[in-house]
Amino acid sequence: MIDAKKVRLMTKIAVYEEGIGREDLAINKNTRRTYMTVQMAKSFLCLSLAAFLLILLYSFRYFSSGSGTGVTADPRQILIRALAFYLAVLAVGMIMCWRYYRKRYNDMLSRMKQYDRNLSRLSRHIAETGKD
Amino acid sequence: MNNRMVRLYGLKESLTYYYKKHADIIRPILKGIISLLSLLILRQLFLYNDSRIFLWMIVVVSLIQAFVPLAFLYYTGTVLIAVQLWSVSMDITVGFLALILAGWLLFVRLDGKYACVAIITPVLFWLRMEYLIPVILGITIGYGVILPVGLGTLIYYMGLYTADASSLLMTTSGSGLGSGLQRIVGLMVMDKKLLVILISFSLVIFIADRLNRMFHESAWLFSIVIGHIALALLLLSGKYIFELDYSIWRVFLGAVLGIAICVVLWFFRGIGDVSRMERATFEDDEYIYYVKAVPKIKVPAKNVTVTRIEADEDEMMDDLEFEQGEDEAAEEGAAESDEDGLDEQVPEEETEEAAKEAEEKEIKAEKEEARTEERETAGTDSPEDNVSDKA
Repeated sequence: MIDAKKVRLMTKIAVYEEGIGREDLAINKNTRRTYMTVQMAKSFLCLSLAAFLLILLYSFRYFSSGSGTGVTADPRQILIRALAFYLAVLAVGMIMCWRYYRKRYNDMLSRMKQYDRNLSRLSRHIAETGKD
Repeated sequence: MNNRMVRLYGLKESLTYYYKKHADIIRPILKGIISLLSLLILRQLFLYNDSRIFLWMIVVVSLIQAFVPLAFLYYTGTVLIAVQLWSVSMDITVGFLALILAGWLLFVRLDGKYACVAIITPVLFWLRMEYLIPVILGITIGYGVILPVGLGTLIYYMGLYTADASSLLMTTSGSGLGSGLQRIVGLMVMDKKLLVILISFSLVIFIADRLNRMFHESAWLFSIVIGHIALALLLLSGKYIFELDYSIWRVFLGAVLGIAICVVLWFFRGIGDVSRMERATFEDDEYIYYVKAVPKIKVPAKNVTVTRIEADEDEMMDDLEFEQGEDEAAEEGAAESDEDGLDEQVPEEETEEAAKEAEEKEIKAEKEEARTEERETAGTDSPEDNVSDKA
């Protein structure tokens, strides 16, 4: 006879472990502080690189080539604008990344809690029924 | 609720049921069609190499796309555009790839689920349906879609300006390295219409998302109407401030069409029946809860019972037997017969089925009565009563 309750619990646990649980278990190895520090460091690098690429693209406006001339402007002005853009991208980007990764960690914690609950329910059920 | 609304809700329930039942087939087909149309339109927007091999590649990629996440369209669209731009100018291709890489670093890296929006946005611009984008995406996805929409808008305008510059760049052999990209970037930076569209779309997506998340039973309606009004106002004020050339009637037509599409979308998502809203107040050790529950409008499935009365080959014989039986009963004075005598002609299995169906109907009717009674009693209880009970 198939134990329906056991099958249901084991299916829930297996679906979680095979799916999103893989990411959650990898995140859960770190404390919240470690996880957030690593992710914010990665975000800082990626945002800096993205801002640099956009500033480089924008600077082509002032590019002078053999066939034509670009727009002329004071180099100090260009530098100030580039720095202001970089700081704006960094500020907004870091805040958004911080909120995103904090939510991700909190969601992972609630899913892991449910996973642990399912595991303890399964072990209790096995102990009660005496079957494995 | 009048008959027309009931029929509409019935249609919605049946469509939803049909979609859920055949989702394994419908979703790949839809993904394949979306990717095929998007890639064909992108090819049209960046048509600098009309080799037929590209058409076959697009068909093959769309078939593959049917079975992978739609976010993959971000990469396939990028490759298609880059290959087309390579025919025009190497520096424009590098500039485009730098833009795509910046987009990947900014939003695809975090949550690539909606990366395909960056490719579908220029498609909608090409189809002249750009004014539908902000509110629909704002209420369905959220403000996280601002960056993909911005990137898609830049890609579209890059396509327009490259088309203008391509004839010059492809024919002039002496153009220096970087002059093509310099020209494109210069035109895009000076374009006030692009700036107005970027700012308006970003603001409207944010407004629509925030309004939709309000704790109110009609928040969805506010976000749809106010979002479209805000979009029209922002675009028109930009037109008059910067003396731009887009037409007012298209803006209003886009707003009206957008409202209609959003209402249809929300209808399928599920609209609550505000007239049957229930309120409840209760508390535990830590909080007092003030709850508003708005029931979703659902049309119950009809239970249609069909009783088939089929003519039997031995019907004549049965009639004769019945008549003989009646006569015998009348003589003996012990037989019981129906008024119309039909039960004796119906086989026993059908009578049992009919009896079961009748029982089920009675049970369902009793349950519905119990539910309406519960609702009435819940509706008559006021918060003051609950508080006084707890006191």
